[in-house]
Amino acid sequence: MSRDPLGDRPVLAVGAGAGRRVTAGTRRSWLRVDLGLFIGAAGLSAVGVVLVWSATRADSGAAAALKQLVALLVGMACAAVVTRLDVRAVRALAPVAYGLAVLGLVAVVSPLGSTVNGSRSWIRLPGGMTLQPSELMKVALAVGLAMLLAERADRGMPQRHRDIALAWLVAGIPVVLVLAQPDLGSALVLVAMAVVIIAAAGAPALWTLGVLAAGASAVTAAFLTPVLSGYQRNRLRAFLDPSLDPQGIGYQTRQVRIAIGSGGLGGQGLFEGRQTQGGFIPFQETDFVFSVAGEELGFLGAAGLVLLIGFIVVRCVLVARRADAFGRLVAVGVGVWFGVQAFENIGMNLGVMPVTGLPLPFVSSGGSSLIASWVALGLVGNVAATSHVRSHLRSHLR
Amino acid sequence: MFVAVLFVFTIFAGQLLRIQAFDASATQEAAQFKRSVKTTTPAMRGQILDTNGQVLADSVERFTIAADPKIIPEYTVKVDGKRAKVGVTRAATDLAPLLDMSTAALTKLFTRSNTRYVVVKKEVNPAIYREIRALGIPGITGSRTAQRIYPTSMALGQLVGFVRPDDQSGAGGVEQMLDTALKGTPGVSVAERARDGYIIPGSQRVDTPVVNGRDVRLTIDADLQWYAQNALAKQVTGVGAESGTAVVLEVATGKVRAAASYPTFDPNDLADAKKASLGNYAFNDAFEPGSTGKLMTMAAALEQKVITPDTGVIVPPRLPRAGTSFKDNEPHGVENMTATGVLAKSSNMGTILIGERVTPQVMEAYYRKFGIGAKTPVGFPGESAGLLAGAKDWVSTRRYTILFGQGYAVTAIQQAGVFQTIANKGVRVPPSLVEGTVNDSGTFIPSAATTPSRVVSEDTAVKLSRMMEEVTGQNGTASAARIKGYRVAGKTGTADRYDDKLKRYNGFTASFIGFAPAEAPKYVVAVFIQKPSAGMFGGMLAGPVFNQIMTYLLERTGAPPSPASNLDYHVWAEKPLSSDDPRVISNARALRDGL
Repeated sequence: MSRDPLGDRPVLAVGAGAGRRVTAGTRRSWLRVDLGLFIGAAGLSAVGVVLVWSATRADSGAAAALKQLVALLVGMACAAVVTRLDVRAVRALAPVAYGLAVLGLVAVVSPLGSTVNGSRSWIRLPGGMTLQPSELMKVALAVGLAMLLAERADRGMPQRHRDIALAWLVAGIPVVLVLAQPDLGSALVLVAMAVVIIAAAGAPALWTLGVLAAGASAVTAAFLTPVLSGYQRNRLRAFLDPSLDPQGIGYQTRQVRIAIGSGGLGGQGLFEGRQTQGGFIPFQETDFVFSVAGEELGFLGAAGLVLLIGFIVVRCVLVARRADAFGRLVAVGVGVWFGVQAFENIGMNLGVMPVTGLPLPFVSSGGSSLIASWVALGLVGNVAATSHVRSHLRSHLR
Repeated sequence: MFVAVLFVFTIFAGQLLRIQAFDASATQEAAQFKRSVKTTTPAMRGQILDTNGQVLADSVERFTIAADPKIIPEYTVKVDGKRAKVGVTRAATDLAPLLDMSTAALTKLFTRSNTRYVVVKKEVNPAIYREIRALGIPGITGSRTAQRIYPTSMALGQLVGFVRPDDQSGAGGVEQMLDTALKGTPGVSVAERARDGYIIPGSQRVDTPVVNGRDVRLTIDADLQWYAQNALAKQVTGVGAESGTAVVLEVATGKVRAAASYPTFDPNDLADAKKASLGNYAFNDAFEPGSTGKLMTMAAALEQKVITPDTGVIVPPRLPRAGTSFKDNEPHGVENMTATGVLAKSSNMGTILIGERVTPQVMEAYYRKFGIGAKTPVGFPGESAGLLAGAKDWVSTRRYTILFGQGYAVTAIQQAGVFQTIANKGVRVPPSLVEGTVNDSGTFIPSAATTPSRVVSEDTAVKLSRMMEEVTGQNGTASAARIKGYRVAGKTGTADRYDDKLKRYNGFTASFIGFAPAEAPKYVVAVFIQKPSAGMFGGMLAGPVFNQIMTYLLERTGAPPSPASNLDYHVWAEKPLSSDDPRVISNARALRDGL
């Protein structure tokens, strides 16, 4: 990669607000923001609100959908703020965010946390709100690792083993904490983010290969030894053969298959899905919200969702390509997060991945996940805007 | 990275296509089969109305509440603003006051193991059911049923009949007779059931629409029936009889206006009903009529010109026939009577002397024309045709007993019909019980009228009717049936009652049948008291019941008092009779004629 090591200087200058011409050119117009990303995510979130409504209206009317809508507005507001933040502020805030997220994770494992469906993943807040620190951790990990590794990457210098080890330590702490909840899905997402961010930062290939090998042996060990909890192993077993226990662990997978299969090309229509309205699928508004789309909106709707998420992931990658090292690592991290999480979530809905409790970004019910996703999106938007400004400046300097 | 993303999403699209397009129909079928439930919506049974539109039987909507013990523990309510799972105990406490059952009993039902369907309570009214639904207890379901209500209860139980509680199908009386019209067609709809047992909104599909049953209107007059039933019940209990019936026929139309029968039952409460009293004795009980049958003998003799009302009859103390010596109820010496007197005093020997002058073939033909031995067109469930042997079998003593009402069997309805024929100037109108039905568009469609047929000439009928007035006259057998101001024509009956169980005669059938005012009768009232333990004579036992019912009818119709008759008939012969007189009927003449 041939990057101008001076590339970030004008950016800093912009941040300082020096130079009239520069100020004019760097005014952070909303038009400079990656609009496609925001429109895509907004569309996805809107569909999400409607699907959550459909999945919960039989039980609680519009309450859950309204909650989701409020979270969406909060998330969008956060994203707007993050987009307009100075990139240095983001870098400066990264350790703080990381620290807070780790604290949150510790709190969850401590008696402060509350257990839902076998996982200790939530903190109850006053006023009936709950917080899922593992979602915040995803944001924190993206900026944290990027901050840690960007400096050398920016200068085109190879990463030192010491830095990589530190990066893995930074990634390892939350992974262990999340596994302790136990929340296998989130841990997998965090690991995937760490692997890709660290590799993209120019870590020696040996590290990446070593970590992948360690991961592979860990998974093998998980299947063969009693490291995984019985609950997790059952989920994996049910994935391999859903008919093992049709009333128990295989129930969900079978019902999801029925729901999606009932959708056909155009779906049964919003609020008309029999499986959905009949409440046959546990967690249909969170982990299995994709089945609601499959049943009620059909192939067109479900494929549309896949396309939208794919678009957002691809967009993150495209932003990463144009960005400086920090921005690149952040955007890649967010892209991996969305990509892996969507892959796992849609994959388990379609029966090609085992069931692990992961929300579908922007769509599933859950305030923490939605707000975290939007903050992450804001970060990518910030990166995009910054790179835009930079390339703009560069053309001026020439 | 780009390629990886594309690859992943292509796999997803492929898998989506596979599930939604290629495997879709199989999956959907499996799903529907799992979820769909067929619901039968019972048709509301038609009402049974009396001739004035009073409701005799009605159906109301009810619900059968059932529970799924597996799901009830999921019962969740808001406690202090938080949703908490409260389960079986709370479900039982909440339902107990609504269902009027004890919490303990409900808890026992809700915790029954190895079942997913327990009937909690039947015949729950819709308002209660709505309250139960509002509780939102999972696993508590209600299916729509109907309950039959009989506002007139005992008074019409044995006529209106009853329905089977389980499927509401007619099982007795008019309910059974008109079941086809009353029952309607149940609707079948298919709906999909959610996991908690409730119907998924918008998933219902109607396969067969419900067609409610049609209303039917009977010829019965509920007020009259009630009155007759009361009068009859009082007398049956008062004289310690086994059973009784009282039938009111409209003379001109043959319509059954009342068919009381006692003992009866309350169709609202079948648990207390005795099997023997589930039918209607007026239609179902066949018995030997006794002296009321003499009416047909007299009618035939008048019509065949064997007698006139004034024909003299020498009645001996004993009459030897078919190896037996016939006698009358009260011992007497040789009596010089008229044919009218034979009827009024109900002389068996006199009747034999008159009746034997008509051949069995001709006599049988008259009986049959009067409707004896054949079911009426009513077709009441369990209706008896009675029993009348063919003329060639009128041998030995039966040849003679038939003439005075023994040796054949009739139902109360049939026997009342004989009197209707005479009251209607010789024209028999077969009895009918159904006025009509209301069709699907709400229009009343009258039943086809029964076909009248002339049995005897008007002249015969008028004379016979006048002769019957002497029954309630000074010298007659039924002074108790007399009604002040009106001429009452009637006939008493006191028959030996054949006991099917004992296979021998045991007890009596006391009866009185008549009509008033005799010159223009509107109604025939027939009263039968079976096997009374106090007394035996029709005039004394059945006469008072006749009197009450007929008085009620006369008052209700506002019949004007009867004028004096222009026919002057006598019971006793005015001059001493000679057995040599060819016009006088006597045993000597019978012997001369080789009878």
